[in-house]
Amino acid sequence: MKIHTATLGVVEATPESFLTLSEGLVGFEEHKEFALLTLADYEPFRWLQSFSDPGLSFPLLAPSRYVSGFEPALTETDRLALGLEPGELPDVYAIASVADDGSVTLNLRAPVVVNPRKRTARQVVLADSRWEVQHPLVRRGSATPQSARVADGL
Amino acid sequence: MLVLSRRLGENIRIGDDIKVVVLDVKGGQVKLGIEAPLSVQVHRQEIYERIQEANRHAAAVPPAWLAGAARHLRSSEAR
Repeated sequence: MKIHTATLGVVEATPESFLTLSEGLVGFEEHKEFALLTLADYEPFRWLQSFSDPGLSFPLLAPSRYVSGFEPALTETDRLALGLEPGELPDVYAIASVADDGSVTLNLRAPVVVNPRKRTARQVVLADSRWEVQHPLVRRGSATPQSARVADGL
Repeated sequence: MLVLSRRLGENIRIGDDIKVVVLDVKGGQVKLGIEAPLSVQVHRQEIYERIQEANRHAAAVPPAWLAGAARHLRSSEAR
């Protein structure tokens, strides 16, 4: 089906791209139905586009290729809410932000975790404060910067 | 705001299905246990606000900026 979006134009979304976030995203709890879009201009990023608000979309990036050792520990509550079977692995995305200088940060503290089989997703808030809300995305192959890790004491 | 005094081990009920227990009180810090349904997410206020702010920021990213960052990322990976 076609979605008329405010910022991405008219995009084609197949049922396999539909996602239900039954609790919405933090601060956007009223929006529950989305499509996870792959659009050539933006790859490897994807867009999480709301069905209820054509102007609401979030850039996502699968962090596994860019952040080593990122394995979010899901709680039993998260797994139940997503309908994951024991041992079943979810897809993991981080919400990306771009600053006006082009630098990209990933929210690793609150990744969007997807059960691809049930097309359910949830923004999970990790207890592990090593993962930052604004983790600088570093190009693959370049040296890892000594990013100042802000101890948030959480 | 409703203000209640509770001792160690005592509870507060919020509605039918949320329970808050005082587990420990030590040196100006209170440890709380919270039982709530799956549909209720429980966060510390500070982290909730930072994630909300990050989500708002992400929702406002101009597509042209993301396309630029994407080109940059693809070209650095192709090298």
